[in-house]
Amino acid sequence: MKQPAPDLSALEPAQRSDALATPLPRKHLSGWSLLLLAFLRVYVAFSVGLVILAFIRALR
Amino acid sequence: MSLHGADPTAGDWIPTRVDVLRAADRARVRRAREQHRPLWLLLLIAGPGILVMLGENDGPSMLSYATTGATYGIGFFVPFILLTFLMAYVVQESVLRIGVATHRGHAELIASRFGIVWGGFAMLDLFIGNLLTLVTEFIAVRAGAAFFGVPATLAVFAGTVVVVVSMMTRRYFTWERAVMALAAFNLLFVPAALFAHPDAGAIARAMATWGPIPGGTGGGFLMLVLADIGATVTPWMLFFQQSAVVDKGLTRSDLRQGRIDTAVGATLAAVVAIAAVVCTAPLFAHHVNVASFSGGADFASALRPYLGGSGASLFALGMIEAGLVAAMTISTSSAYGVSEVLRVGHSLNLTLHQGGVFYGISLVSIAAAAAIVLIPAAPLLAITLAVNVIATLLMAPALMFVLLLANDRELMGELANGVRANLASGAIIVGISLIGAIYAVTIVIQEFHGG
Repeated sequence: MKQPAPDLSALEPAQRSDALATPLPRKHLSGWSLLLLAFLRVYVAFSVGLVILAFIRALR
Repeated sequence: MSLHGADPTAGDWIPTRVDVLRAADRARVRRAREQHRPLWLLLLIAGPGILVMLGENDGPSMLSYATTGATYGIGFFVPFILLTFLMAYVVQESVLRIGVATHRGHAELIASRFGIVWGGFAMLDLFIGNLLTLVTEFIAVRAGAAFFGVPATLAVFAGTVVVVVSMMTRRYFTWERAVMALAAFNLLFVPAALFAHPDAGAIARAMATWGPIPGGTGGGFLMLVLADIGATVTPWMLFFQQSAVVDKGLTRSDLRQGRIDTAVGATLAAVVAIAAVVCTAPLFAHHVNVASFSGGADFASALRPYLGGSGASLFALGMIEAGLVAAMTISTSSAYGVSEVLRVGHSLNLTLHQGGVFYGISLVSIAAAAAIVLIPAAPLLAITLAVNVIATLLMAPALMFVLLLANDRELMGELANGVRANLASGAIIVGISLIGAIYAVTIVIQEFHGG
């Protein structure tokens, strides 16, 4: 039996595979965003250490 | 070309299998909208929100709620759990909006907008956190099955098979409906709670007064506060819902139904979480010490005198369901997150051949977790609580990226965060970070005092 042709018009242009294959450009970060990300690096470094410590304590 | 991708007027597009299947789903949604069938439209669009919320009522979460009920009874934690699910709604609504506005997954957006270092961090954080969590999901499956006398190896093997088979549908919509059907069994905790003959007056008083807190607000209290937050708001949920929204093909026009889907999921999950607290409240009333309990089977066995055989069996079945559904959603979130950063195919509509890396990541994490859980003599309750703590500590950076992305007007357009959304999200980030910091100080102090 012949399959009906798919109704591709239901997809928005930005949902199509060719659109999704295109990477989005890097965001231009403001001073505040850069400061926030710098703070985040410190927090991540600290919390990763803490996570390891908590995990070792939980395993004891 | 727009920020969102290729020029739609370009004529060289060759539709892929994912395009065709997603378009078929979208065509059904469009018909429902044209025929003015709002309930059918909602049923078609619902899924990611309900799945993410019920998926988060997973093995460790249900154990945290059970421990909460057994340690503090019906009191502060009943309204607190409602608050945590309100927080979960606020956060998940943001990723829903980001998903429909950008048609990109969360990990992909972090990598492309903030650089590969942050994308890599998000990917590793997600994969490792999810792997540990998957171990605890199989602990829940094993523990629930143990209550019925099923050997651990058989339970873990059967659980693995169910999860793997669900991945083989090669169709997002089928996978979603199958997992939703299984997730409905999360509601088993509600009839189980009725077997505990809950005091409606005590629940109403707890809601009104946010108390009592027997034993005060010491270290154990803080640990459970943290564990219950970790049981409700976790990083994998952000990645899963945004990617599922994209995979399902939801658009800006579906935002209202998506919000209802998320709200219904949060409400159902909150009811189930409170039901688990109510289930184990008799253990608190009878001064049963749960500190040495190693999993759901211990709770189910301890509950038998108070809930009866049927109530305890429902509790054990609920634990199995909690572990299985979470294993499906969490392994899928790993597959989405890692594949998005690696820029390889990432859709449940892919064939096994096309989505080798995508399905492989999911299968490898499932297999590794199943193998780890069969290693004997692990301190299971400690590990499950620790997993929630890890999720809470790493939630702050994950939420920060949600906030940054939701405020990215280039991407979001009119769906970018307004003042109220920023205030709500900001308060949640500050709250979670503060509780995490307090916990950190507690841990460090304990460590210095040889605790």
